Amino acid sequence: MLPSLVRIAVRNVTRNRRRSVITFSAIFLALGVMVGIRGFLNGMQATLRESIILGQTGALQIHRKGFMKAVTTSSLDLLVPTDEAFLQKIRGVPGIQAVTARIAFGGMVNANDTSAVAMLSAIDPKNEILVCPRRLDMISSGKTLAEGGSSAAILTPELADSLGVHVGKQATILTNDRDGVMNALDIDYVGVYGQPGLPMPDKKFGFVPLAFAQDLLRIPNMASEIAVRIERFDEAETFKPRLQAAVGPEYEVVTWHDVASFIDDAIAAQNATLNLIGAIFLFVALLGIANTMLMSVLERTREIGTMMSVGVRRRQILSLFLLEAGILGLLGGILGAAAGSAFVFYYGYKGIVLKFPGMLAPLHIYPTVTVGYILFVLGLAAGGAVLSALWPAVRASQMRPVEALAAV
Amino acid sequence: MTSSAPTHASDSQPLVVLRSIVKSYQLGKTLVPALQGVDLELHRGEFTVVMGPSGSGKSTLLNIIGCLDRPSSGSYKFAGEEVSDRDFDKLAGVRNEKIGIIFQSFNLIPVLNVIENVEFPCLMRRRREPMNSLRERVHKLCEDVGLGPYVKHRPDELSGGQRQRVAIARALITQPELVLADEPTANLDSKTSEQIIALMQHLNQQMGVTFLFSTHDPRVMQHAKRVVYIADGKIVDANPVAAASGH
Ligand SMILES: Nc1ncnc2c1ncn2[C@@H]1O[C@H](COP(=O)(O)OP(=O)(O)OP(=O)(O)O)[C@@H](O)[C@H]1O
Ligand SMILES: [Mg+2]
Repeated sequence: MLPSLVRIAVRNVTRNRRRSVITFSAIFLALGVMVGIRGFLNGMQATLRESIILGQTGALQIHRKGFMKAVTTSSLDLLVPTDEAFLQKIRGVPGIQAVTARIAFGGMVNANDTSAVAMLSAIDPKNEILVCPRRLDMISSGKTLAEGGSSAAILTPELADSLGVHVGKQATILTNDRDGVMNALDIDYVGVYGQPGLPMPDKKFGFVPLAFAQDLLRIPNMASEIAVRIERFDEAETFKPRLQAAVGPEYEVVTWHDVASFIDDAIAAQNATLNLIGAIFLFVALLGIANTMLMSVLERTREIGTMMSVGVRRRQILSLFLLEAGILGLLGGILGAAAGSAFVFYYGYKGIVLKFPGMLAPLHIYPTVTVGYILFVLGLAAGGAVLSALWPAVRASQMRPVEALAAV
Repeated sequence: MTSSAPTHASDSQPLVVLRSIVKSYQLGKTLVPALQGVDLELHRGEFTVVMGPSGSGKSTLLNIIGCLDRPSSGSYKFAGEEVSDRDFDKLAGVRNEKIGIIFQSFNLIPVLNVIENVEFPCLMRRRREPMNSLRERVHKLCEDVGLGPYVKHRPDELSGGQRQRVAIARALITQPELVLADEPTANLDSKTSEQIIALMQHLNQQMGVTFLFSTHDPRVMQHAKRVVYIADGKIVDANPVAAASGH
């Protein structure tokens, strides 16, 4: 019974070729667009995530308890130790690939009798690039901190320009130490920190070596945060309890989700846009299916009557038309998803290079798409097709035999 | 006017018993009477022709007997069972197994070839016979109705006469107790009509299938063993039985 209905359904789909092709194309397009955009967004979101995690935050961070809730991130009251014993506890957690310490602080930078307030970040030059290798991409000219010596500084052009200093010149950082006592140390301006093309808290910004800042702030073996690297960023949450257990309750462990929540927000916004676009394409395609099936039912009224006259049941008539819609939806969907996947795989292999003005390194995007998503949209197409054909199909199955037979 | 008693002493109960069948159609605000109290009995093995002018109610009568339509009132017993009050879908099984229907306009399924059209009713059954034996019967039946060389053709590749042969084979493949044919020759030329009628008579005699046949063509009458005349929704004469069928 079912094979016979499937045979009739398949042949009816191919019978009115032009109409089927149009309906088919709509589904094809919808799925192609959905899979294609999904793949592109996956690539872009991975790149965005990587550039933040490998360029700024690290996968997880450890602070003194209360640090995340503190009003300013430059508070010197909430510090973590950076002695070998403490760092060893963190390195001892399986899966931790690298560990680095940082101090975020504010200060006054002076040169040429001018001064500017700046946000400063002290990093451990050797370990920082193990946790955040992309830091190096952001140095647009000059040397790295590792190359620049113990009082090297990398400044943003905004900060350097406001002070009127050029690479190779000196400046002085003036700040309060932990006890509120003023202290000042000279820095060598060795490198220019370029526009990363990503949101930054402040444009007047600079990097100095960790040991230099520990001297300046008089906090030996202390830092405000410790960042770690793990192999897979999406496993960050699972490291949270393990790290917490390793460092003890006086400290808090956060992931990149907590530190850079704007990534998740951006990803969620992009996904919402994709869902909207996908929904519109799919809706139009499904309207096409509903229309095709309705026309099919009207044209084939006599055929429906004939089937009823030889004893085909209402349920079977219903299944026949739902099958036809399902075939249209699934076939168009499979080809559309295949075309979208081909696009994703081709560019996933080749890479898409995006360069926005003001951005130092171009973004390399490698689109990917999961089998799960493809199956999901296929299910959506087939299910949607069947659903949109429900009304025409019910109409067909509810006809009275004589009336159906009397149709022209 | 009404055949109150069986026309011949048959010990078996009649296959079809219609009592006071009324059928009216609602056309806007007026009620169009199509059948106005029809009493009719059909016995197994009979070959009956319903004659009557256009609009007399032949199709309405056949549709009711074929369980495609329900009477407005009256009783219809098929093989001893009251079916006039049953829902169409409940009668699907009766239509599939007990009744074969042949239409004036052939009504084949356009996407199926001859074999597939003929086997179709059997494939729609809940309990199916093995494909081999079904296909064997289909081929045999196609040979019997003269479709041997055309079994792979689709309906649009066949002549009218050939299409009607397919419809006859489709009506017979389920081995029904009753075959209804509503003006099966109206769309055919006279030579083909003769052949189709001869074929149906042959099948009636060979297989013992009960046939009920409607026409308003007086030429067809000469082949009938029993003629029921209908006019204005009433049976005017059901008894020129020509000594009934000779079994
Ligand atoms: N669906 C319908 N709606 C309204 N009236 C109908 C309908 N079907 C049939 N009738 C009316 O019922 C009467 C009987 O029609 P029916 O089709 O049974 O006649 P018929 O004998 O088969 O005619 P013909 O030889 O032209 O096929 C006619 O008056 C017809 O107009
Ligand atoms: Mg008629």
